[in-house]
Amino acid sequence: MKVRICFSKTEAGRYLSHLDIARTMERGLRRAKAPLAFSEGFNPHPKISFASALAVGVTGCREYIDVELAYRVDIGSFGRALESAFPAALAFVAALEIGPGTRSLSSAINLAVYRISARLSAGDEEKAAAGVAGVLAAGELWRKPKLKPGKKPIPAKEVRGLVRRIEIVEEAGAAWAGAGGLNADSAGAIAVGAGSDGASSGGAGSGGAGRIVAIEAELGMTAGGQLQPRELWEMICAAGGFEAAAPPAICRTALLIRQDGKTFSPMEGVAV
Amino acid sequence: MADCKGRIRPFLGQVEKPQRYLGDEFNQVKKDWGAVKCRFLFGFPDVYEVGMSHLGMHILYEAVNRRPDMLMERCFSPWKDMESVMTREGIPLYGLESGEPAEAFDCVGFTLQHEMSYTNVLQMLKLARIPYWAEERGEDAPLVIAGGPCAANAEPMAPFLDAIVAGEGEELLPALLEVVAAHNAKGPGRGGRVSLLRDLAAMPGVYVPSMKGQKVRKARLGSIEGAAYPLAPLVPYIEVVHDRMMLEILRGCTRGCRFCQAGMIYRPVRERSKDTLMKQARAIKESTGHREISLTSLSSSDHTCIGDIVREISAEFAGERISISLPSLRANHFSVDLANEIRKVRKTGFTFAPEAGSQRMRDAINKGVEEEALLSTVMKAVSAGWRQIKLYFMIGLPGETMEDVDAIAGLCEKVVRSGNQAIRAAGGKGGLRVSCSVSNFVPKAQTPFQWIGQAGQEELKAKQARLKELMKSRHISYSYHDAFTSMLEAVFARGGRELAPLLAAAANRGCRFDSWTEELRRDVWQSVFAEAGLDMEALAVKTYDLDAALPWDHLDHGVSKGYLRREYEKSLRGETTGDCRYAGCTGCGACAAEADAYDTWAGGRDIETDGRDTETGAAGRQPGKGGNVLFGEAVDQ
Repeated sequence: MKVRICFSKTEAGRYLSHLDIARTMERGLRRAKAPLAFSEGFNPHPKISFASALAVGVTGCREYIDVELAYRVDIGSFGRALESAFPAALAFVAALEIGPGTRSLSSAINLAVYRISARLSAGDEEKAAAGVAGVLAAGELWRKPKLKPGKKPIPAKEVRGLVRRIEIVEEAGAAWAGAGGLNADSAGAIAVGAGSDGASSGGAGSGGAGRIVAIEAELGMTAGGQLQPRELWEMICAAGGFEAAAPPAICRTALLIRQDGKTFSPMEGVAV
Repeated sequence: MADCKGRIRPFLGQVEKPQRYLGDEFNQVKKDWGAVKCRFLFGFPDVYEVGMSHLGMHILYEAVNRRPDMLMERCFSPWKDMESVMTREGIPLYGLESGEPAEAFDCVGFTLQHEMSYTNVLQMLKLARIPYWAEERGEDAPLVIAGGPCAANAEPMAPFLDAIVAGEGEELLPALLEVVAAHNAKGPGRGGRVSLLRDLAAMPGVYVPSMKGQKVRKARLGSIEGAAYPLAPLVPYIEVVHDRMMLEILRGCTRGCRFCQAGMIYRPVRERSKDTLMKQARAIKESTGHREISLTSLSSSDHTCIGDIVREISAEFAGERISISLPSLRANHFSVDLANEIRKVRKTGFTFAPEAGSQRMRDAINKGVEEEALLSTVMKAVSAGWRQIKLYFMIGLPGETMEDVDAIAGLCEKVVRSGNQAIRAAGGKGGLRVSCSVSNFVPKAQTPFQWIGQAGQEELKAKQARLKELMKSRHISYSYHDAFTSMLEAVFARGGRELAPLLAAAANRGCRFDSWTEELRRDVWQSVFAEAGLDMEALAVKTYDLDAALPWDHLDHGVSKGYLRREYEKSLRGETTGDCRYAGCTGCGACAAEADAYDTWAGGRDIETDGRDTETGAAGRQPGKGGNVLFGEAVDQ
């Protein structure tokens, strides 16, 4: 039996790496008594596949895994078991049984929506707007080469095609009042609300002057490459000629499938 | 000011591994501060990943938090990056559960696992805004306590601590917190800190350094069968050093290795029954979701039912692909049989600790391992498919000559030859890989070698270099410990209170994480000792006269000084002493009474009915002090 699970990486889990999330997810599934199916071989692993890795510092509202179970379970009670088996860093959203022929998450998902929230110095809001306009108007956008010691360098790449939409959305408002003061316990901060999500971290700084600007960006995900939201933010800053006082808070609000002119969620049209 | 966790949030993007500072793990216990009478903050003087791997902390977390009237939270040493953020921003050390600052707790307790963590305790006190020196603390400051193996001689730390808990904490700690709570309940004008300390000093196992002439005997459990044990331990998000379920199968070891402090201070041997262990294993599996279980103890193959335990866990957990790890195996065929049972799930290397290269030296330290047995065990392991053997040795042991050191290299080569021979005999390919790890002997308090000075730096370095020269085989990888670190460890392991100001000076000048070789500030330590007019090396190599007063003479950790002395003298004669479980009582004094000589579960004996599970002896029970708490007796001489 194959199950697709939708979950959130909450504010409490913001600083977890993909590996941490994978380990935490496996433990959650085991606590929920999921009858995991294992790979063959000398070092068997449960068959869990993630839609896409989330970077350290980035939360996610609607993330997905497919997990293979050795035998059938009642999906309703399995979902309830997961709800109580997940730690604060993960929040259960939904689960459904998927058919054996369902396209894998990583091959089906080709669109990610991010919300990037940053505290700007007074007067920089217009520069942010100009930056967004600049990025959208650019004919080409070059992602910087990535050089990591001991690893194969990733060459610079033209990524304009991955930027589908950027817009400045409504300022997050009251939730920002205590920027930096929101702690992980508040509401397990399931962080679905974009405003509260961005609030707490990323070094926005408590009591700093200036306004919070939130940007929503839709980025394409192809086998050929992805554009990280942080990289997009740097492009916006460069195009607008400003610098944010602190790194922005980022949440991936959705992972979507765009196909034949229609956009839908990975939970749509796959139930058995 | 509360909610320190909220205050650090804006800075988390600037530090390594921010999750260290956030808590909120699965199974975290978060209590209402108003609903309890005593709030205890446990401090582990190293980073989160090390502290969270420490079984003792999880046991105490359960022992305290299962009581409705008290709570325990955790804190760890912040790494340097976070320490500077906290210092710069004025954010105090806080409990991970509530975010409340350390100074708001009633009691703060540190575990002293090794001497090289002492400066971290001071780092944490400073961040907690609690004065280093016990005598400088005001009436409102939390009570600062410590426990752990270094309580065997905590004199260098004594002036920083209001009380030191000697022995096992799962019953003693809640009892101590009860006394603190009762004291708090008296309200303002409650008689002051001095009266609290006086009450604590009256508790068996509690040492109050500011009281003159106190004699203390460690607290210990008569049996560990029913002791508090974490069946729903915290599950960390980030990878910690020991990221697995821990099942404590037995406590104590009576093999009697003469260098081993743990083998002396945790006596006598007490086992948990197979039934209890199976119940615990199931509960922990369900509450954590871990995929590995470790059967921990000082000597796992010594549990009288270990074979059945391993087979049963293996059979029951194999379907969920949960692997078993069995640290601390003795070098014998039985260990290989055991390991074969567990290897059905995952294959790991084999580790043995012969400790010395020559039979003469192994006899002197009472390490009951024969060369032939080791080699045939290796051959058996290799025939069963293992290709990696790890061997632990020590250099600088009392009476050691260069021939004994050469014998370490010789033994490693023999292991390689035997292993390769077994591989060829089985028609296999490739060779055996042996990793040889050599540490420096550090004399410790409450051991038969407590009187003996450490080998000097020149000697240790010469011996390390000699081994490097000898271990040329491509099959052997050789690693050794830093000699300077071992010297510092020796100084503090046997030092007295006069060293406390040096610890404070070193901490003030930035010494932290001294056990992390790359963090050790040799220059600072050297100048701190020089300015105090003390010769570090002379202190490390100092040999005490057998009749001399030792700084820890007033601390009784179970084994008598007479026994330790007899063992030392036997060592000089090259005589060995058998394990009291098989060779008869050695008269070490750890068993307070005949009644609990040792506690095993062989043959399904009913411990409840043979009276060995009841208490630690005539002086064990202290009526009116914490109900059914079992203490070791207090020795008033």
